[in-house]
Amino acid sequence: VKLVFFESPPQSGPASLGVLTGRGVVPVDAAQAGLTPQETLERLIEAFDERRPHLEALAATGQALPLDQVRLCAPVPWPGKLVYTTAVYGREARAQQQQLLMTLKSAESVIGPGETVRLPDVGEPWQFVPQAALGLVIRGPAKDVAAADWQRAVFGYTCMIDVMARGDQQFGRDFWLAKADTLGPLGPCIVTADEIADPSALRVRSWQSGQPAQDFLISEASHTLGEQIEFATTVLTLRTGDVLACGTAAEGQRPLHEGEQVRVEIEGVGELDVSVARLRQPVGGAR
Amino acid sequence: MKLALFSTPDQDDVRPGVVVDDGIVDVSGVVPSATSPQRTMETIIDGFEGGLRQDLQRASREGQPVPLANVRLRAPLPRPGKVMCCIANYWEHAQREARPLNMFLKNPDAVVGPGDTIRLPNYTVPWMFMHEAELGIVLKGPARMVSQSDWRSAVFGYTGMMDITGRGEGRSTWGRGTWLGKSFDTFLPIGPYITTADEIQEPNDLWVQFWNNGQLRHNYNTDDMEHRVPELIEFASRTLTLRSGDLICCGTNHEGLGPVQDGETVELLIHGIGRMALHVEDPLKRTWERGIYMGQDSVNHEAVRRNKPQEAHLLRETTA
Repeated sequence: VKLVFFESPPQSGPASLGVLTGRGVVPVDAAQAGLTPQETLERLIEAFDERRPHLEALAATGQALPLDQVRLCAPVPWPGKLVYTTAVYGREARAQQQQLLMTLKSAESVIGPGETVRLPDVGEPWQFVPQAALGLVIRGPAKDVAAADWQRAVFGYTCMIDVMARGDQQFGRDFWLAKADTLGPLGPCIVTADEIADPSALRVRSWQSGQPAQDFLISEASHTLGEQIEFATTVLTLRTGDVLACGTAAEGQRPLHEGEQVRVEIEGVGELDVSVARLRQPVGGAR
Repeated sequence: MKLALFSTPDQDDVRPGVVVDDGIVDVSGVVPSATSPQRTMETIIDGFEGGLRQDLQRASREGQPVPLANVRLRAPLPRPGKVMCCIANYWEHAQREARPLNMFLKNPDAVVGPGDTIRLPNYTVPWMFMHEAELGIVLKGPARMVSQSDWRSAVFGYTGMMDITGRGEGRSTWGRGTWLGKSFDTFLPIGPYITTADEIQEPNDLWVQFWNNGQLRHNYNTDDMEHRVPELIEFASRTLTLRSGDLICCGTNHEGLGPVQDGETVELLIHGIGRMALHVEDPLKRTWERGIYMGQDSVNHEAVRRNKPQEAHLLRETTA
């Protein structure tokens, strides 16, 4: 199934959990008093095997709200950890393999489909570059997972954009600025792992204002998805509701400008569209 | 006020407490219930100025203190939303311009508390694991774009923090640029409790000490910070929204760096804030020369000249 969080204006309140279908969004009665949307998702992930028949029935026959009557939100609303591996993609990637590493962002970076990336106002010579990535939504706790067992730690897949900063070779402030609010879009849905027969066959494509940007195959990776999970769980424990972004291709990256639209599409997973604005306030790291 | 989370041998659930002269008083009766110990502390932070401070004062006066020896103090922030750590940030006797302020995010799931165990990973790419002793600023939010002059509005209190670090070459953090060597599980000791901001007149005048098996390693004052606490608040809040229960770690004075290894006990004391000790375990039983780090990129030139005069000519000024 495809899980989403959505709002249905004019109703207000926290986003609701739903199943995305060809007919629209079928609400899932999962909310429990006192739980945040993220906690609701994490409970569902933990109980998924038990809940799956019910969710599949909703997807097949449930009463749906048409997509033009809802606003989709980030399907992982407030992940405990957002982890980005440094895996790269392309024909030569495997041969040029380097030590795999990871960086962290926080839930403050998360925005959902249709929302706006707000680029920190740091002026020249800084650039921001959107990097398309396949996201793994984690079912944990996962520690010391062998590469061959990687799917044990994965609940589902989503599309991600890792907005990276560039402009400081000497002191490495790029990595800090890239952690800013709104620089980690993800969505539009979580496709549960059972729907993707062969994740290594997935193709990740992106566009900037309609122009093709990145285009790569998960099969052409410096490190397989299994190797990425193994490495991540060698260093730390991945927990339910964490998200692991599986790296990107060097080719096709272009600086991002105010007013642009970014789209990431992963066939079988979904299409994530966000717009870009500049934050009109001074931001740390520029001086 | 000194706010703690604790459990007892007969009751393993984590409860809030106020540390007083002769022990700790359970204040769970006046703190609204929450879904996790982290949320409990965030509830205290958010409610403190809205009447909870008086309730806590009364409860700590009227309650029966339990000696600290009879309880298990837990990390006062068991799972912060964000842990923002300064890179470098102490002068360390260097004669140079201030370096630009920079921070990284540390794995917030890596928290351990007083009496807990730092476990070195079963992973040999980092060549050494070291301690860094730091002042932690406990935040209250949401706070965004906080100016230096308004820094106190985003600060709830202070605590101690050890930034345990896996090293790549020399004393550089393993995973250059990513700071990944600092995010192994259990590499984030926090505690022993939170001292509220009203008890600390000047966070840039605190004495930080750290021992490894009784050997003094770090011994510095926070007045040596390159970028001081108000600037840290401004800087972090211009990139990220600061939330209640988040933590900013102020960096360490690297002159006291040294390895941590199997079987050791490490102890942090920030005068006026608190003292905590933890154990170190290493499944691989690796060993390094005990004492302050005296490699070629050591910033403790005085120690190298005194103890390894034959290597003093290799010392170099470092910029970051």
